[in-house]
Amino acid sequence: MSDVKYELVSPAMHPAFRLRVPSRELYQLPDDWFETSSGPVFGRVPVRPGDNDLLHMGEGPPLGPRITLKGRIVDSDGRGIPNALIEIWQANAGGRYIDQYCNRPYLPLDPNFTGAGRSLTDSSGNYVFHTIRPSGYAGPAGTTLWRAAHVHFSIFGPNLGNRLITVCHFEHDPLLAQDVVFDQYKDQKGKDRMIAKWERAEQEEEGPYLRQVYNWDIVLRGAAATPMQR
Amino acid sequence: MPHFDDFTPSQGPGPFYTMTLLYDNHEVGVDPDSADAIRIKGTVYDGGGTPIRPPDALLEFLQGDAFARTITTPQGEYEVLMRKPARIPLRDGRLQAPFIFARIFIFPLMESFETRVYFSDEEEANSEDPVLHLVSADERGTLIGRFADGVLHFDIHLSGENQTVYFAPEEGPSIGDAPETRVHSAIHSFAQ
Repeated sequence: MSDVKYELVSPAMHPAFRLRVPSRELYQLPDDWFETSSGPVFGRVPVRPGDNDLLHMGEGPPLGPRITLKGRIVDSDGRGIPNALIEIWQANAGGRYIDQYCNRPYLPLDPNFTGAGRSLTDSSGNYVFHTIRPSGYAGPAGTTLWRAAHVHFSIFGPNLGNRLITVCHFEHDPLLAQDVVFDQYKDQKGKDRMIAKWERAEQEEEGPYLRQVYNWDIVLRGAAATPMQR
Repeated sequence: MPHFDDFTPSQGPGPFYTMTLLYDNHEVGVDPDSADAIRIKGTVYDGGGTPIRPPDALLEFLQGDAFARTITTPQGEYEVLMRKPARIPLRDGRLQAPFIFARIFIFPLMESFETRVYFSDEEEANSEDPVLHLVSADERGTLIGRFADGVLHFDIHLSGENQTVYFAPEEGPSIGDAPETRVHSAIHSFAQ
């Protein structure tokens, strides 16, 4: 009937994963039924000063090109979302995650890079991370998949409806053209929303490094206003 | 109704998220010594009855200022500490029964799903709950946790005959655009 615009599970995945796809219809509820909760208070997720600076978590500088990854989180009306919690995780410059479940132990660790960060948006919805541009990486042994370079983002807005986990890619990455995970969105507009734009090169205030600045804005579903503000 | 590409699309968390998303005491959503703290335990199954091994299920429980996040064990089991909340009214004034929001992220699905954990010892409140009323009688039980030995037992079935009911806000999620899944259109028109 209509063109497939979106694949919930990639056809490249094992057929057994179909047993994880809901077989019953979802019940749709009015948006405000999701907002009657006062929304998450993230006092239980620790966010410390410096958690957004992945360049200075080790004893020395991490390997890889240094970048500033910044942007603005807005609601569906285009208003900036203040105090949104952002959590990120990414591979190092060799394509390796430090995660306990990382199944590529043959890729190198970087003792000066964790790849884990947290931050809150400011009063206008702006965020910034100081990190390295990760390497793309090959899929598990036996596949021919290469993932484009990416940083995972988890975002908590003020309402339950605008919880989002998504992925930031980098423009001009040739691997984007053959990344089957990225390609689960067939629609170019949706793809473009998951790609950070190269903005400029910028001299760091201290030290010899010339950093690349990328901008990535994020549009959440739902309105930013809390019920009490409405 | 907005189309999914009006927003930044959802992606799965992938298999390597625990390095950031799990922190010390991530499964403890409230002060463990508080009088209303309640332990919730369960198992996450696929549509064939196979437990979901780590790190393929990421679960978040949320109500008011209580928030817990966890993954399953190799046996598919999870356990969090939350609080049993008071009855909260909808904006139109109707009281809901006590419940806890749960969000489920399942590898390799691109969307997460939201459900509600109700309490089996709240029969009267449950019978008046406007959301439980929307759910068909044969599915309602999937939303109600069972008390036993002071623990609330809430299993999650991702697919099949016993599938746990999932909810979606009107504005999205984009899953409405996925060919594999459908939203309950009759309920949608009723809720409007």
